[in-house]
Amino acid sequence: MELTVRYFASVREQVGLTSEVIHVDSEELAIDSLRTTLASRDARMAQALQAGRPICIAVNHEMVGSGFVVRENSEVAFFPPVTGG
Amino acid sequence: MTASFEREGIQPDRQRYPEARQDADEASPAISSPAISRGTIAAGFEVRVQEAPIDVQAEIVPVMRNPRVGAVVNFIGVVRESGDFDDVVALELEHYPGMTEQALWSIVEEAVARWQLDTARIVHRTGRVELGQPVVLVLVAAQHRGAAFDACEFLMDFLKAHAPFWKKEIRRDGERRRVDAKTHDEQSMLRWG
Repeated sequence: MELTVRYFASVREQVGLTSEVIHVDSEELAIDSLRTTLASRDARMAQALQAGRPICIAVNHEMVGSGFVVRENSEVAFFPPVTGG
Repeated sequence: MTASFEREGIQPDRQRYPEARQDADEASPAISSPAISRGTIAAGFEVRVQEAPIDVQAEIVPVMRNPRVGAVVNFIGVVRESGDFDDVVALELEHYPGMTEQALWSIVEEAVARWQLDTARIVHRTGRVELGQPVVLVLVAAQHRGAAFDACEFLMDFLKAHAPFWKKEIRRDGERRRVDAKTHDEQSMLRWG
């Protein structure tokens, strides 16, 4: 399946990317697994997505918990806690 | 979208929910549309993210004209001088186009489920907002003030905790700094159950 991964705010600034497309061979992927895989790519990603840093995750525009499993082409967004209003 | 009609045309049992959701990222707010003119009444439910400054008067006055409405409550979030930084001259707001409108809409739906409301509207700026200018307007109208006060506060608490915006403070000397989320905002949500 194909995942469009988007980064916002300080996560985007640290990652250095607005978005990217990830091709996943398996039929399903746990979100925290995706995060770990992305974090392991290089030092920059590791710092941006490190475990223990508060990161919010949305799949197809809805917030999800870290236990969420993606099973179809989706848009996945990583961002810091929100500060609107 | 705004449901707005001339006074004579108002239907006493009109549909509470709009037929279509507000488009994302309207550069011109609904106040510039030809339908909103002198004597127009505004009602119904709307969310809007806009780059243009918020004209508070233009948003509120048509809501007050609705003859069903006895109570109008609004909250305005304003850029102030001291946040995490001192000597702030502006904020810069980023959001998640597509998710923001959906998130704001689900906040309004939640309020409508809890209280009897005639109007609930959220207007939120994106981009650069100067000191003293509104960042967000939450506007609620109901027959009585209890629902209007409570729904307005609920909408703001929910927005602070869930709407995907991120702020940067811009200081007079040009320094920019991200605003961090406050645990206070998460805690404010807890009291609504």
